[in-house]
Amino acid sequence: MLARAADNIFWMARTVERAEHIARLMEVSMRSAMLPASGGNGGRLSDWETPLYMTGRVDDFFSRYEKVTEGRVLSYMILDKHNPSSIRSALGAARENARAVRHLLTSELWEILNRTWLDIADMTWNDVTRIGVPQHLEWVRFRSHLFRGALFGSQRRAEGFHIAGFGMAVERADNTARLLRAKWDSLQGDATVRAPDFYRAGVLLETLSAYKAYRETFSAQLEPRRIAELLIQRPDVPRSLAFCVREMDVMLRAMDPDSPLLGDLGALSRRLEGVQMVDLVRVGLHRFLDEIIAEVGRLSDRMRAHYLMVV
Amino acid sequence: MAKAKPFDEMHGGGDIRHPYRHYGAWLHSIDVEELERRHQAADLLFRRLGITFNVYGSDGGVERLIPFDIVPRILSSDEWGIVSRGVIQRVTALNAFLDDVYNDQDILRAGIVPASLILTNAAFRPEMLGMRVPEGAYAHVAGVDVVRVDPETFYVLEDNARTPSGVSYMLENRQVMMRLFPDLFAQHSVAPVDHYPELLLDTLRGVAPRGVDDPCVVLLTPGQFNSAYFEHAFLAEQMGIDLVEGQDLFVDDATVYMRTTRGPKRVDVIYRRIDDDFLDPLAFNPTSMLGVPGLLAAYRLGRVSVCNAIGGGVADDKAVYTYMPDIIRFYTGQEPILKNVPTWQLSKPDDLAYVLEHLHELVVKEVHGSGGYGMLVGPAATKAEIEDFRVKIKAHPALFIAQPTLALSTCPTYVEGGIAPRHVDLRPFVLSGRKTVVVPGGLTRVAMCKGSLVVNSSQGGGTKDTWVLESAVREGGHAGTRG
Repeated sequence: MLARAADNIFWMARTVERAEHIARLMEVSMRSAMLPASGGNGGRLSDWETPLYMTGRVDDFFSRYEKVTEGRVLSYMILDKHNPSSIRSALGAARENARAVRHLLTSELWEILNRTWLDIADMTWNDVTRIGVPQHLEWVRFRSHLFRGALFGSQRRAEGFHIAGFGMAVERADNTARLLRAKWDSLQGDATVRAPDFYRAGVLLETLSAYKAYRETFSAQLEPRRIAELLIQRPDVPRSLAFCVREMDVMLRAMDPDSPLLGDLGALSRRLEGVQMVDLVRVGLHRFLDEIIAEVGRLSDRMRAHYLMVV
Repeated sequence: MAKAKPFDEMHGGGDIRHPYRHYGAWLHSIDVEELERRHQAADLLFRRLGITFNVYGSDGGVERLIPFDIVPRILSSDEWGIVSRGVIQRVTALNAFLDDVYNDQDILRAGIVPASLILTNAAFRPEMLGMRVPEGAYAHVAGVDVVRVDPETFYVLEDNARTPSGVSYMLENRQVMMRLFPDLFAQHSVAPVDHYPELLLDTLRGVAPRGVDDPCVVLLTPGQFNSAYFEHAFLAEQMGIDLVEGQDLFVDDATVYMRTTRGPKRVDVIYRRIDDDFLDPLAFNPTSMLGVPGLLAAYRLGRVSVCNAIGGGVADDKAVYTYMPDIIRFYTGQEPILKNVPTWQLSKPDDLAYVLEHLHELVVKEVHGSGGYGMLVGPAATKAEIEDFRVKIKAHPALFIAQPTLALSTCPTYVEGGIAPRHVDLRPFVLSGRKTVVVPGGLTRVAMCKGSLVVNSSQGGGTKDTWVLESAVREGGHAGTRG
């Protein structure tokens, strides 16, 4: 397959996944913001500042707005044309990448991305509030599910498919790690009571479609340590890091059984398996997740340099 | 000269003409609301499928839909017989002409076409001299623009021998019509066109460099911001070949390779949709970012085939057009089947004087223009537009030609509020490789504005599906043998 076309497919898949992630991030923010602030906030970021830090858009946001409000962050992260991290920008990039390789995609796959883009391209903030912000975010999530369904249900199992699968897994690993990192402190709850914040923990799990998985796996109360275990180590939870890394391995192996990247992937996988949650929680999850995020980024770069001729 | 009432493809002299007899009855039986519904459905289909083109120099919604008209243009098999034999004859002569001017130059020596017109032509490529291309094919894909003025008479307006576009609309229009009007296709025996991509691939494979059994064919596009990108992607998909940009190709040791996920892969045939000027920055326009450095050298050594051949533009030049009837006679020994529009060369003082006096009744075109840009339609122009053009012509007369305003035939067309006649042309796509073939049909372009004669999509023209009705026996297309 043409290296440039493969790169288009890689980014098509990543940006759809990213749009879904931003939608989930907005959902978790909206629902957390409805909860009473635990323990006077203690210098933590507010629920509406978090998404700006997570996507690296703080400076840009404050160059345009004085204050962080729910409505501004939502419209900035959902519809803003000048914010490259907005859902609209991600879906636009997905569609542009797909357009460049539409001859390599099934017509279903192309039509889903094209229609999704046509639906959101001219949408105004008034349109979104008329539909309802939660309903709109749900729509974004469902369009992403539809895309994935068409990819798995119609695309030939050849290089293009495996590159899309790899791209999706890379993006998701990055997103889960960042979300867990950003929300970790807020799960610890009020230091004086030393009780975890059950509500925030529940919201986080639900946004990652992992609430049921938690209950089934542990059938116990929500505990930050177990939440971390679920989202980092459990290979059966589709948004966990272990799952994403395994998916990267499956896709890469199918594409090139002798890939020189498989060694690095194996090392990453063993690292996730071997870490002791008790230690991790004690010494701090942030550093560990930072390292994982960096390693996933390196793997993505190496994959692009090796197969997609990106220098 | 423009007559009071142009020939109508459906109504002709009054009664419904034979090819339209079933369709006409159906059209009269259906109400306007139903037509509007089908029209909307067609629009939605095109938009969802993303069948768009990009408009140069317009901002805002850069991707546009070409207006599609749901009323087909119908030709009987006899009418198509004239057109298909005519375009095959013409393209056969064009290929022979190109082979000649780049090799023996018999036609120049015989004084049929002035040598100066060819050798100093901007589209003439001296780099091609003395090179024998596979099968003697230069214009592998030619789009011949044909118009009709009465039941028997077809004129050729232009021979597009460089990188003609529009064939994807011919194919998609048919797909959409079959989805919208299955009942009509059941009633009519419409000759299929969907084997075009197969014929094209066959043509391209047939001109691969000698000794290559299983050639790797690619389509070279300027990229996704080109006006015809949809078509490039569509054809690549239909043929199952790679769609490449200049940056994906490189030349090493006079061999062209593409960059794949598994390293370099040799390329044998390039169906290019990039103009000569941009193909190779080492040989032509040095600032081109679209081309492949070293491509011309590899091509000249016969290590790769380029379709259409480099330098083919000299055959579809509007000044060379005037000589087409003689060119056809010279190479085929036959009388031209399709007529040429009488043309005034403004480089000639007598012609110039006549044209300047009659601007209000003539069509004036730039010799190197295309796409309906830089064109004056005298009868439809304002006084100011005519005077503007007069200044331009006087400054550089040799850059222009003029033709009488033909009374292009009209075809019933769905417009707001019902059915009305609109002017049409027809672009059949002729393929030349081991043989010269044309699929039965082509792209019918329609001027959507009342009275307008400009059908180009860049100027607001629309398209129609073109039906060639089959006589009793189905045939796969008319083939002629190259000689």
